[in-house]
Amino acid sequence: MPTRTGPSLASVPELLEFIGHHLTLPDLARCTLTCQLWHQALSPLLWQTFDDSLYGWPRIMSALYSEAATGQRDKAWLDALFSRYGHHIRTLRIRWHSTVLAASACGRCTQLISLQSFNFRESLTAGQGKCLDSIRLDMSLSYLYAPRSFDPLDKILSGLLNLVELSNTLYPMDVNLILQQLPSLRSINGAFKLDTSSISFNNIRYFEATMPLNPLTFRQCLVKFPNLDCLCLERLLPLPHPTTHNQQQQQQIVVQDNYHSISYQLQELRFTKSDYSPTLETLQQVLFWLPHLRHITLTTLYKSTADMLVAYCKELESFRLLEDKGFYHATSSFDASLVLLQGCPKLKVLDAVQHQIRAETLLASPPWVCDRLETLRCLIVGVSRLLPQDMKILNDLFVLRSSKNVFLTKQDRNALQMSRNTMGQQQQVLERLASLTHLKVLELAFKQPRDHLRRYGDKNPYVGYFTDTLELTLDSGLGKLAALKDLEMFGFEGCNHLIDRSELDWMIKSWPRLRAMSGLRQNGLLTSSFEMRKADLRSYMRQIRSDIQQHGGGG
Amino acid sequence: MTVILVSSDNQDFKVDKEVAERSILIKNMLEDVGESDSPIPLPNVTAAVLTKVIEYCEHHRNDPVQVPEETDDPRKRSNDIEEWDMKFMQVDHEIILAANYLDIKPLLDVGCKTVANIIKGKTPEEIRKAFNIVNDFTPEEEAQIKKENEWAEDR
Repeated sequence: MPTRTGPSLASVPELLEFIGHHLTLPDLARCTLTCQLWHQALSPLLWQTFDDSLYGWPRIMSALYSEAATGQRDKAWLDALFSRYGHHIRTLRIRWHSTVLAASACGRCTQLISLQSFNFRESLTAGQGKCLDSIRLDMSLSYLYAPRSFDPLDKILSGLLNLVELSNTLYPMDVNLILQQLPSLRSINGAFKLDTSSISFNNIRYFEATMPLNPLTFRQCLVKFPNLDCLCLERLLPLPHPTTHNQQQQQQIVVQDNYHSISYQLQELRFTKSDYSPTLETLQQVLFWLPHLRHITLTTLYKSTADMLVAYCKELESFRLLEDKGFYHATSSFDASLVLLQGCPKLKVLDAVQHQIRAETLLASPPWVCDRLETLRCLIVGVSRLLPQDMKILNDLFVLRSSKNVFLTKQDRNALQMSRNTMGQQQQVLERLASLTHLKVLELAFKQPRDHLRRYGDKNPYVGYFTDTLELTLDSGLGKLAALKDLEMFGFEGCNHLIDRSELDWMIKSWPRLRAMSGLRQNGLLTSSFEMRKADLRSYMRQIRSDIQQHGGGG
Repeated sequence: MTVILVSSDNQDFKVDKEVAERSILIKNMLEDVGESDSPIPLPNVTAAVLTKVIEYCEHHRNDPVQVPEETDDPRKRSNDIEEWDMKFMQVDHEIILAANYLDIKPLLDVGCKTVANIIKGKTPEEIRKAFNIVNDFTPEEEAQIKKENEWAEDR
């Protein structure tokens, strides 16, 4: 090379930046390792765009979710990265929640000009927004930076002329304004300021309110969105105590609209907050207006609630009880779902797997009217089961049966009687279930979360089942369920079952449409005899019908 | 119409105005000065480099003036260097410095792409060798940055 008169190329930061624009991020990363100057000059470029779906990020981010020590180490590493380089980031593309947490915790992402969250189905940049049909402004975005004003977002939103779904838990919006600007919207979710203006929007079919409603505001929603199919809400509060002002309001509604005589078309009502349940009176107030309700999701179920549903919702097709993913405790009273089976002739779905039905009450219940039921998920408990000592006696008797002169002790006779009673009760329960001949999905218990199981400590480690559930053997009457010709899914996860290979053979023979099961996958320590038995059955199923999906387990 | 450019080592170059104006620096200077025959001094460019730069500008005198496209990702275009330009650039990195100083955007672009192509796929040590860079990191700093860049490793 000829002698240089000026500075060398490698020492002009401005030029390094030009060169950097032509490099990929891995090349840039290697450049930052050469010397201080290059590190300083090229780091802004290296960090200009942070996209956690590229390069090593997916691997690193998924490791962060593991409880292993590496994940924890990676978290500290990620936090350090963001606090050191976050101020270079101009475009942030997020698909992993860890990125949101790290980016917000560092508080250094001050130069952001473009933010694409994992919740955005598509990007908002460069005019692509025009074809966007769904957008979610999640509250988690507020951890990243607190904009002084939401006007820019309002402006972006008003340009998305094809938007069909809008979810906004980031900031309260003016629902009238946004709906006037975007007549294409069909579905909205978020906290909105509802006014009493008479403007109504016929296009909205789905509304999820994250602000609490009371019967009054509930009514306002139905008036504002007359064609609403589905309303989801977190809280339905009782009407506030009457002050002079809102007493007037309430009276107005009662007088003007003839409070009790009007009805709305709403088909589906969902409560979405698992730890909240409206009072019976409040729920009653709104059910009054909803004679066409077909689907309802509640968070608790008491007998009084079930009675009310039978009385008000003649069209009810599906009832769902929101599952409590955390610590399981029977929040609802026993047996209430039986009321629905007895009282809702159109019921197709009873999805309340955490709701307990006692065998004794089940057998005593009047005939079920819902003969079109397709899905039944409930927890049948209180089934009488033989104690281990009875089993032993019966086993001994079985061995001795060949010799003719067996003298039955009192103990033996008791055990035999117990055995007859037990088998009798189980057969009767299965017989009742077999009357639901249109069932496609039958699940009789559920997987308890591991945290719940740990509570019992060493005494009973990881026994993932309820002891007083059906044993589901051919001896105890499983054969009754042969009437369920349409069955596609059979779930016995969480049952204290004694299913063996012969039962599996029977299921495959009797239920030609069966395509999924839950209960055979591992859900506890493999050292327990229960889990070892399941492991054997699992491998057997793999041999004979590997096409049947196995759900559940794990955790 | 011609103009006279004077290199840092006091050599005069007689160039068509049209060619000289490929340099935005010179173009601006000429506009500032107005009609004038006085030579233009370029104290940052040697005669050797200026010869090359003029050669480039002669070759590209009929190119349309480049309109910068903000949305176009330059990374995608790093391979589209003309053959003539490629041979031309093999000569010297100093041309890039001159192009930067004289503000000849297309020449600067070609130069930077060429350098980027040299860097591509090289290890840090290989890059240091190619550019005469002295590693001034402490071993701790180097280890730290290496750890920080883990996400960008090709796997």
